[in-house]
Amino acid sequence: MTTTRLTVIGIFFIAWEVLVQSLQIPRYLLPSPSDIVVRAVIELQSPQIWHHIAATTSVALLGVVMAYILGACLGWIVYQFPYVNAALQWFFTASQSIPILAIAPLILIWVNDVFWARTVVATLITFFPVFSATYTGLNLIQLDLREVAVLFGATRGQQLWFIELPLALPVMFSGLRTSIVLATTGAVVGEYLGGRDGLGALINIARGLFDTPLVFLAIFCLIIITLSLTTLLTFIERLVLRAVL
Amino acid sequence: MFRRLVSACVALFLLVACAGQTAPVARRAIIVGMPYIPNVQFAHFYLAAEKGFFADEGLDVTFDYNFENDVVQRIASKNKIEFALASADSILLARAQGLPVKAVMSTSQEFPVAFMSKSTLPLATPADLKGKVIGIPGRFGASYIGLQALLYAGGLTEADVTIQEIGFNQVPVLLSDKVQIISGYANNEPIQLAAQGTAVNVLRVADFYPMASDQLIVNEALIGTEKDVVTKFTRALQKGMQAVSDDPAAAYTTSLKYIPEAKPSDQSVTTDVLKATITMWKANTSTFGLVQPAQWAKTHELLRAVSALKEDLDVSSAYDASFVLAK
Repeated sequence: MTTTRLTVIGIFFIAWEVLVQSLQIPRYLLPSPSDIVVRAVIELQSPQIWHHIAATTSVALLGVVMAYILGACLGWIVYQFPYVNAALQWFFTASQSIPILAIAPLILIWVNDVFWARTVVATLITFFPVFSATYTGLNLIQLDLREVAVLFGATRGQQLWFIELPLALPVMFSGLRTSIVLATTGAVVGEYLGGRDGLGALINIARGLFDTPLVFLAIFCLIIITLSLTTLLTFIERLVLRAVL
Repeated sequence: MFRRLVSACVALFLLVACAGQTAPVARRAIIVGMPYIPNVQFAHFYLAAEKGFFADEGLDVTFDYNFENDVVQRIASKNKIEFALASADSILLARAQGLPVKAVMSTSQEFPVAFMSKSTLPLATPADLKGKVIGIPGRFGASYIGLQALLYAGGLTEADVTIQEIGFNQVPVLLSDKVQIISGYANNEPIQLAAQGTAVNVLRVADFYPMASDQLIVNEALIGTEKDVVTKFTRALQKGMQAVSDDPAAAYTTSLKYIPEAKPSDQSVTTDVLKATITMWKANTSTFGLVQPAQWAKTHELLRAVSALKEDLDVSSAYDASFVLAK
């Protein structure tokens, strides 16, 4: 599987290089992989890009954590109290149609702190998949399982800890996986609209200098961050599910 | 016999009449890449279209809106746009990366960026920036270049000020005192703030470091293959600038066709913005659109001083001053 994956990736990059070289596409329009590698060798020796990577990663991680706490709690509340679901379902759905680009500049003013403003943006973007997955996961639990637990005198807390959470976790993790992908996007959106740090800010600077290889380098850094966080999540998921189930 | 003669005469007449008709000349379709969104500051383009100046030159012009960097890259890639607007510093930075873009007309004689503070904070010279918290959209674009120009002119560096990247929220950020000084355009934000009842001190970059400003740009290849199109377009645009200068109020009314979101209640403020813009068009010259080599040299000097350009460029290759000649 890994060999196949690496082969496909290798073919992709070779095809890209051949395409750019054979068609003589200017670097400012589409840099070749070798152009990006050359740029990477220069930039990765400077502490500046690591600072940008750290800034984006920290905002993305914090955004995911906040989205997970908020989404999981709200998902459980909506599951427990159907009238809350009836009252707020439209709100949650409507919130997903709000273009974050429109309100992100306002968030930057309201929050009055660039780091936390970006984190709020990342949280808003990543919240819904976690909320939706939690609600779906809890609803998939068979009714008779809960009824048996009640028959045996399980308290509300025991139902949550021994039945609902363990059985909902696999679906919740899938929501979390989607959130991680969105979290890096959310972090970049916030950085793109204001601030000095982060890969989004770096992309802005690179575009201003017409340095397309640097733009692509920033994009690849984002891809690596997302893949790393997803891999870490997979590892955590296996550990948790093995312990719980 | 007589009928045949009449028929032959009619046929002959029709033949001659049709031969005398020339087929209508197809106009050269032109797309102009405008930065960002429709704005009254592009009134000269709108008037040139509405008054038929472009049509008189055989050009059929439409406007397309993008971020400035994007229109520069589209020009460079010959992606269906023939002309665009971009700042001189962007052009030099683009050429340093190999983009074959060239300025053919200067649409403003003064670098438009200015810095503003509330009236309670003195701001008259670059030295007044020292120790202040300055909000700019980010470390890119005209605002950042303008700040670097003022610091350079005042013998200061970025270490002497505190820069906050505030995105495109300048006015609310200043009004809420989150920063002490903001960047903006000398022909826009001060007028908008005054209209809201907020008096500001204005420090204009053009007063302390006369760099080249916004330019009409083309792909170099267009000058090589269709030089006449460039000549015609610049000529028509010059007429548009003159028409706006002659009657700003009428220019505003005409521009509304291209800015449908503009409210009639904005007219007074917007006309003031337009008048301030016209002043920038005519600064130091009586010829609209004149390219000023000395300003380009200053732009290059700044970009090298702040290391935005890693190597010297042949500045004179970044523009072609032959399309607009001084009167």
